[in-house]
Amino acid sequence: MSLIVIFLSIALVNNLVFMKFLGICPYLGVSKKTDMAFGMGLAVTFVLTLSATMTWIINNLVLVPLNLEFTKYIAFILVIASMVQLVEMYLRKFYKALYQSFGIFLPLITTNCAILGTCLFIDLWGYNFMEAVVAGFGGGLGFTLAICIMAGIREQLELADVPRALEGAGITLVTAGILTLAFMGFSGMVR
Amino acid sequence: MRNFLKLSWLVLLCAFVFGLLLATVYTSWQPRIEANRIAKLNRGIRSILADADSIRADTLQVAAGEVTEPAVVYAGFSTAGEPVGFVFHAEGTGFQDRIELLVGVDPAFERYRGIAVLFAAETPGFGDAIRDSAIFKSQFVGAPVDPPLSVIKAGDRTKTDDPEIVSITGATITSVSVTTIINRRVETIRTPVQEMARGAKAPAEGT
Amino acid sequence: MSARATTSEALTGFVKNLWAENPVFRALLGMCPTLAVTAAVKPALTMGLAATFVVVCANTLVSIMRHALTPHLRILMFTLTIAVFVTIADLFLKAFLPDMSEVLGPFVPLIIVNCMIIARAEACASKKPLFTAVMDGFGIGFGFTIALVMLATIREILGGGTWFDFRVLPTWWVPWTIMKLPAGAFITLGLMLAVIVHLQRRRQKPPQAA
Repeated sequence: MSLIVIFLSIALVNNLVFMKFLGICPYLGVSKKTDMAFGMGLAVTFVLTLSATMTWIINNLVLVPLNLEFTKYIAFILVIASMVQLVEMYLRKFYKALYQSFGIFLPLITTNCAILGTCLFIDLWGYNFMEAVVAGFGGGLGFTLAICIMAGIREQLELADVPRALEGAGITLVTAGILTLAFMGFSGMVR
Repeated sequence: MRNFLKLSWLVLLCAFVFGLLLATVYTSWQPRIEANRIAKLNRGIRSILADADSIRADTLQVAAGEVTEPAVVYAGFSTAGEPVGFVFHAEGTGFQDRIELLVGVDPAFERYRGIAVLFAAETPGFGDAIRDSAIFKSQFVGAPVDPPLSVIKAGDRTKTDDPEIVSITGATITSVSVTTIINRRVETIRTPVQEMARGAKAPAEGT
Repeated sequence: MSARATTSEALTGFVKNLWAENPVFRALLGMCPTLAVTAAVKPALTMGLAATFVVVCANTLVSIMRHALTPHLRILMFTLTIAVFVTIADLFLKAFLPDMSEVLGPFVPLIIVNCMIIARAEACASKKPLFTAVMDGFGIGFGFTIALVMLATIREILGGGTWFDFRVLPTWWVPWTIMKLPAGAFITLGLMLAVIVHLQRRRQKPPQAA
């Protein structure tokens, strides 16, 4: 499969948020303001690309040859947690401005299921190294797209007259449902 | 060193205990997991080659672009030792996710003997029907390998000896994916399987 | 604290987690599996029980070692403990319920990053004695299961006319396929939250109703 197809597939057709229900917590939690959402999206893209690469390397060069695949989940979550720590420390030391813009989201990312989920899906789909890197990056961008669209809608929703029982999480979920319907249009595009 | 131990003895202890625990659990359940996988594969092969008395797995070299890669082919033999068909894996992308099929052909590689779904995560209620719909799967039984399979939206679902597969209502893309996966796989695996089929008879006659 | 006080505290915690502080409906935790595995009741129930197993075991262990936890290693230990029990649950499903394991797929390992479990380890198990922590685990696990099964019931009945694979609606019922799709999951959960909020509000203001 060509890399472009993989990229489009994971960014649009199999969008993590809409089709795989990954990263719903930040999707509902951090999507009140567009700039916050964008920061979160970038942080996720960054960490996801790195962890997809790292977990692929560890899984295929260490765990599979040693027949230790059953410890995969533990290995993955530890890799992701240390990746997040590393990125946080690195940014704080060398890129102060960048750290201030999305550093606050980094600790939240360890428990973002989009990261672990994508790494697991990459393993399940049996991607090779380049495909894994592209899928990680594409998945992150797809997440950014989803969370930014959601934030844009929610900024408008603030002004809308929502039934009182639906206020807050209710209307956000219904909106997400309608957005998902829209994204279903991409299904089957990649074959 | 002492400081290091003081800070991390809990982590080290837990890592040791957890490792032991996981290893025990894994070694005691692994045979069962493996048995489940084989049972599923066997059910798939049996559903296609119901008339086979014995089934033998062979590994063939199949062209994949420039290089060749190994592919497992299951050959079914009747009680008389005659080959009754071959089953091979075929994999590709469906509407949403990966689809993994078992495809059966007759010994001459002229007609399909049927398909079985090993993995599919298509839309529930629509594309997922490739797993459960007997009438969809039955259309492959007896369909010719040449010309390639094609999908039509409406037609006689009970007519099986033509290359036209009537798609599942509301899941045309999944149906097309299935036929594309099969056609693509047949292109590369046909020659190796036919070569094997010619060889397969000789030892069978001996036994 | 006397033994009786501990027991009653544990029981209150258990009951509270079942509904009043239900992880899904009240706290909005563990949304990913809630949405992903509730297309039918059977996977939803399996998922709920698997999560219950993990949260009870993790709470037990965290509570036992709560005095030894140092602040900077806390989260690491939580994650490690949870990951181990999730792996065990996953192996169990693969060995004894292979069909369910296939349907749930990567959503079983994703229990690791279910914020519900890590939140309980942090908020309850690392502070409370063993019995309270275990009961809290059972409460949160069953609360999660109840929420999942409720959502799955609505989705499976409307989406396929069946419940637990038994046909409950007559065959002339035209299934609302959207209920089985991701979009249906979001919308159903949104409307369920609305109903719960509405009922809550009505109960809080009895003088106006009277």
